[in-house]
Amino acid sequence: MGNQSHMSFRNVTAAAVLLAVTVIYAYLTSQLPARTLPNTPDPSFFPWINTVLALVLSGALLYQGLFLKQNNYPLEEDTKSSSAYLALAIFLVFLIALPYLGFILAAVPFVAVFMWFYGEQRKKVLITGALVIPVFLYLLFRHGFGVMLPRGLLAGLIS
Amino acid sequence: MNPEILEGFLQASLPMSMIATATGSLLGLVVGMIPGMTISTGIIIVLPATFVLDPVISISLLLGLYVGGMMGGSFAAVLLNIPGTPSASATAMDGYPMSVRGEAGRALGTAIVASFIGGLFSFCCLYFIAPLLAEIALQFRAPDLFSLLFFGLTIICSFAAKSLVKGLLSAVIGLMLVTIGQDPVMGTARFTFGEVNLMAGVHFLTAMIGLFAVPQLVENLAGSQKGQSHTRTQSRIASVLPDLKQLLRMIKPVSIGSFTGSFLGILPGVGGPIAAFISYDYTKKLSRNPQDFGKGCVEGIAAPESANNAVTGGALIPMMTLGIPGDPVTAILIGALMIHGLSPGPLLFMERGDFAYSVIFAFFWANIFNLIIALSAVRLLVKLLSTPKALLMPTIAILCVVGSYSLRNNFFDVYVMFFFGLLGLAMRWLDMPVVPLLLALVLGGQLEEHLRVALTGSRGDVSIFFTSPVSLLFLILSVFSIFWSFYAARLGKKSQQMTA
Repeated sequence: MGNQSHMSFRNVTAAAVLLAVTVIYAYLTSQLPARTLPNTPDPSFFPWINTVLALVLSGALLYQGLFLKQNNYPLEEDTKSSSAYLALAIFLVFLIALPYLGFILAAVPFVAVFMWFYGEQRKKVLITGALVIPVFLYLLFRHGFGVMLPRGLLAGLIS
Repeated sequence: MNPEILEGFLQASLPMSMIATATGSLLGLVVGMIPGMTISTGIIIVLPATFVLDPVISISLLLGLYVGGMMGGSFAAVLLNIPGTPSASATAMDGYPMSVRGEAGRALGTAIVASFIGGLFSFCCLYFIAPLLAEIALQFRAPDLFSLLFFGLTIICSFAAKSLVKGLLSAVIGLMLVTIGQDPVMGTARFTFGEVNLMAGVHFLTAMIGLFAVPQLVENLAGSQKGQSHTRTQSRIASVLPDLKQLLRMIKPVSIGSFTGSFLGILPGVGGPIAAFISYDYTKKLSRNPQDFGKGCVEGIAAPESANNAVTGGALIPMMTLGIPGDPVTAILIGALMIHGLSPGPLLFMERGDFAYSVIFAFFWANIFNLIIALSAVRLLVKLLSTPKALLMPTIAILCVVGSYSLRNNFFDVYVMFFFGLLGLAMRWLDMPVVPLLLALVLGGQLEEHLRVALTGSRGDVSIFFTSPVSLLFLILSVFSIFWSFYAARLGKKSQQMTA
C-alpha cells in the first residue's frame, strides 16, 4: 500500500510538472516564425505534434495518479539520502569551478571529497587517490588523446 | 568474393584494430562483472578516447566492450548472486547454486562457452541478414522511413517501460528536446533563446552520459553508505574448461538461446534481460528434467548466457541497416560513428561497404577475444570484483565531465550533461524509463525530417502513409505493439489479482 500511495503522489507531481512544461513549450512553439513555402509544413509543425502528445500523455498520467490503483511492482530504491544531494551539489560546484580553476585544481578536492563519500576513510589513500586520479586523467586525455582540458590557474606551470 | 567484404575483414584484422578489440573485451569483462557498473557506463569511460581514434579502431574498441560486458555480467551473477548487468539476472538462478556447491569454475566455463556460441551465431545472422536488409531498406521512401522510425520508437516504449504511458511520455520528452536547435528542413532556430551553443541542438551523447552515469553515481553512493563499498567472493575456481559431457548438455539450451537472442536482439528495445529469461523459460519447458532448473544446472546457465550474447549481434542489425539503435549501447555506437562523419543506415553498406563489413568482422573478433581472455584470465578477473567503489566512482564522475567536454571542447555540454543527470534522477524517482527518451533523441531528428519531407511530397496529404504498403505495415505494427503492451499490462494485473 505504501508503494501505491507513493507512486500516486509521484505520478501526480510529475504530471503537474509536465503539464506546466508543456504549456510553456506550447507558448514558445506559437512564437516560432512561420514560413510560407507552399505545401510545406512549418518549423512549428513537429513541436505542435509534440505538444498535443505531451498534453494527452501528461493528462493520462495525472488520471492514473488520481484515480487508478497503481501496479504493485517494487519501486526503485530511493536516493533521498542527504549525502546524495550533497554529492550532487559538490559535483555542481566542481563543474562551475572547472573553467576558472582548471582541471587539476578543481578535480583534486572533488575526487578527495567523493572518495570520502564513497566510504574511503584512510587519509593516505584519500590523498594519493585525489592526486593520482586527476593528474593521470589529465595527462592521458590532454597529451594522449589531445583533449584540451583547461589548465586554469596552472596555465603557466603545466603544459 | 565481394572486395568490400575482404577489405572489411582486413581492416578489422589490422594489429591496431585487434588490440583495440582485445582491450575493449578486457574492459567489458571488468565493467560487466562489477555490480553497479553497466555496459553503458563502461562505454562512457572509453568514449572520449574514441573521438580521436580511427573509426575502425574506435568501433572495434566499443564492440569489444559491448560483447565483453555481456559476458562479464555473468561472473558476478555466478559468484555473488548479484548480476553484474541486468542481462545476467537469469544466469544467477542456476549459476549461483552451482557456485555454492563448489562448482564455480564449471558454471563460469559454461557461461563463457555459451556466450561465445551465442555471440558467434549472432555474428552469422549479422553477416548474412544485414546486407540483405540494407538492400531492402534502400528502396524505402520518406513515408516508409517515417513509419519505420515511428515503429522503432513505439516498440521501445512498449518493451522498456512497466507503464506504457510513462514509456511514451519519456519518448515525447525526448522528441521535445530534439526540437531544440535548427529545424532539420528549413534551418530555422527553435527554442534556442539566443544561445549559440543550442543552435546545433542537444548532442545525444552528452544526454546519455548524464542520463546513465549521474543516477548511477548517486545509486552507488546510497549503496556504499549501506556498507556495500566493495564486494568479495570466497568461491574457489577450479577447472573452467567444460568437458565433453557438459558440452553435449549445452547443445539444446545454446541453440534455443542463440536463436531467441539473435531474433529478439533485432527488435528495438527488447534487450538482453528479456531474451535471457525467455530462453531460460523455453529451455526449462523443453527439458526432460525441468525440476533441476533453479538448483544449479548447466542448461540453466547456457540458455540465458547464449541468449544475452546473441542479442548483441542481433541489435547491430537494425543499427547498421536502418540506423535504429536497439539499446543504449547501439545508440552510443551510432553516436561514435556520427562523430567520425559516418551515418549508420542502408547507405552505409552502399557508400562505405568496406567499413560496414569491418564493423561486422570486428564483432567477430570481439567474440573470439572474449573467449580467449575470459577462459585464460577468469581467476585473475574475478579478483577485480573487490575493486573499491571509492576509487571507481570519482573516476567515473571525472570521465563523465571529460567525455561531455571533449565532444566539442565546450563547457556548455558539461552543464547539459549535468542537467540530464538531474533529469535521469527525476525519471528514476518516477519509475520512468530513460531508454525511450534517449532513443527519441537519436531518432527524433530523422523522424521529423521524414515526416515533413513526406508531407511536402504529398502536398500535405496524410494518406501517403497509408497507401504505401511498407509504411502501412510499420504503422500497423506500431499500433499492435501499443495494444500488446496494454494487453500485457492487463494480463499482469489479472494474474496479480489471482495470486493475491
